[in-house]
Amino acid sequence: MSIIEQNNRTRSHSFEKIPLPSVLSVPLTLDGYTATPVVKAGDKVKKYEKIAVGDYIVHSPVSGTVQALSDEYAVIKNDFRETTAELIPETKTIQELSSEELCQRAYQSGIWCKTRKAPLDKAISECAGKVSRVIINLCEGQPFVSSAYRLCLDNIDAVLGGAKILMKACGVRRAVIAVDLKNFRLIKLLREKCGKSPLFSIKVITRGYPSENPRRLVYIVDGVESENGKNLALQGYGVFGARECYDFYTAQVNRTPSVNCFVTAEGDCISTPKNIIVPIGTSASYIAECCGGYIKEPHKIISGGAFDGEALWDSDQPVNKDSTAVVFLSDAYVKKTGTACIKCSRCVKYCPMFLMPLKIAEAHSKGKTEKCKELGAESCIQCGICSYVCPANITVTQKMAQAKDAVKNKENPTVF
Amino acid sequence: MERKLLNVSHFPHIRHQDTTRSIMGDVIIALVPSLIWGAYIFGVRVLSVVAVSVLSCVISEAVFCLVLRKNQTVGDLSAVVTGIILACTFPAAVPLWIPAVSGVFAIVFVKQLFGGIGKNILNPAAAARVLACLFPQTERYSLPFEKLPVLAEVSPEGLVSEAIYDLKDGIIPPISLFDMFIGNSVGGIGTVSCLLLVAGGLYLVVRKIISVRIPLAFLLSAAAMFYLFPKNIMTEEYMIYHLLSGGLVFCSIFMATDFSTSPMTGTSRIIFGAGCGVITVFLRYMGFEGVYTALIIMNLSAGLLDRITLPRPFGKVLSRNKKTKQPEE
Repeated sequence: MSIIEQNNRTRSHSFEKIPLPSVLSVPLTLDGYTATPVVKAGDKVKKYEKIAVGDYIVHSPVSGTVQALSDEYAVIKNDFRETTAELIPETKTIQELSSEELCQRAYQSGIWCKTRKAPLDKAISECAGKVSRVIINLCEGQPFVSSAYRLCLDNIDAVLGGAKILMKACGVRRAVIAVDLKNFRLIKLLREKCGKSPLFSIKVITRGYPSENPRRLVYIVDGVESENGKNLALQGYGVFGARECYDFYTAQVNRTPSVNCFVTAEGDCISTPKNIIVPIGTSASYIAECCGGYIKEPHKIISGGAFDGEALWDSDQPVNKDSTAVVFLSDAYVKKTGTACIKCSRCVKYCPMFLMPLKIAEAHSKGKTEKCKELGAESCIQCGICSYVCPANITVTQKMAQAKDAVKNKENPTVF
Repeated sequence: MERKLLNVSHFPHIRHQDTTRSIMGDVIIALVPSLIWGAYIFGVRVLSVVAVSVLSCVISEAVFCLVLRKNQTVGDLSAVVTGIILACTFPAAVPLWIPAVSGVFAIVFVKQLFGGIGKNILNPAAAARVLACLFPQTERYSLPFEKLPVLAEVSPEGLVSEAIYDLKDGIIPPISLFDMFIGNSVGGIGTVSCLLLVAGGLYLVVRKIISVRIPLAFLLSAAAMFYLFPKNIMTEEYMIYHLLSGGLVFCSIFMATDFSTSPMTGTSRIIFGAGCGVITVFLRYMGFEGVYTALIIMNLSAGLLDRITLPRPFGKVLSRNKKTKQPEE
């Protein structure tokens, strides 16, 4: 049984569309990948028109005028006309397409692979021909977030269709669908849809967060410990999430690129938590307005889940292609008291990677990088469990991240 | 437009509600039933022993922090827990200066001089109890429901020894096993009722504060030793009397599971508990009050046990094998 208390009010809420915002600042970078603008300030853009091309492609989510451009954002003023750019027609059926053509389609549609933290075409080309097993990751264990669960429940055919295309692209005949035990409605639905299908087998995951981590998932599904610092694809595993499947399916069938985000808006600061479909570039404050506005002063706004999400420094920051949730937390969630480490060893008990976080954190603060390596600091997947369970309120996860970086830098010193 | 900056931090952004203080509070809650039973059976003097012990621990911690200009740590309740656990191990007829001196020793010499909470090597209460054993006045047990003065020193006449002293000579004591189990017998004020101690221990296990490994390994290994090397022909009965007497159950549940002085990994906890049990039996056969001494001996080995039973980090050995084979392109 997981120690994490679930606090999901949105699990029974279907996705709904919100009124489009009048100004969007579309991000042009993501996880170290960049796209260079191909439009100029003042240009008129149509919906689905390419506005930046690079490691991945960014399409305009609305029609309107480009107001400003920087390396990081393209600010687009919405004209609410919804004029759509011409979509690339497809002549071949899915069966006729080769892996490279599917890769190209993924690239042209600007699909982001959240699991691999890379553009989907990169993830597919890594996997094509090399992997023997594809795992469709439908696990979602963090508190507040239910977007992947609702996406699957509402669009099960699209997700399964996308999974089939991904399997075709990777050259794999069978895939495992990993789904959390708590999502029993989804399990029932999956059993109806593909219980007898030779393409899929369903694996029910009982361990809770962080099962959605690809390395952890491979361990739970197959009992295989993946190596540190080595790509999962090279070890024979392709792991894809629900968003990638859904996006790939709509790109293939409707020809529409990936311009929308499926996010859960949650937290104790907004009055009506919802699952909403928003265009990328929508600001967090606009999402809060659409969900009934603030009822408390937000202390933190988190893009992503409360466990591994990123805290935004400014409520005008937009959602990006990989957003799964926007969580508005008041200071009621701040643990105010802390003590010295009392060696309760909860972090040891709950660490999914079998590490001793308190010892690694201690060794790192004494500057013993060798000892950190010995204790396996590199294996840390940064799930956040150790900080979460710490009764002394020590930022263990942060110290683990520093220790991991220190070990990496010692082995391959980077010159700045 | 005014831009309001929000708070940022490293993830995770939510925390479990347990704090050091709440954990210590839970330990106190688990000890309260045994203490109430002790006060019922040995009289009001029990409360004055507890008060003296707790006050001595709390005041010495507060004074130590003040003198050394450290952050005040009384608020985390750990000194209160040490005080209560220490008091539980004393008989009700103990002269009140003994808990006072032991409390100061526990906090100042065993806990704070090693760096305070989480850094001490020995269990403060166990070490202080072993110190108290050096004073002959400590081992003055009174019979249940005997009238004792609340504060004044108890005259040594009419006081008895614990059931354990009969057991050491291989004699079955003249108390029924049931009385031993529910606590209608001679013993320390908080250690006498095994029933309530086990109930408190179960509460701590349910609240996920202690793991069952140390108490179980402690009790089972002690039971096995008593069974294999009995001093009496009635082996089973002798074994159960031994397990229920002295501070064995109390020590295995409340003292051996102390966070900072017990090992952290699952395997090492079993070895630790088993070691405590075996040493306890040795010491009891040699004629000492074995439990607390056995515990501080095993405390010294906790760090070593952790080192030899380190869990293998995920994916680490695999990468080492790979390196010896061939370098990746």
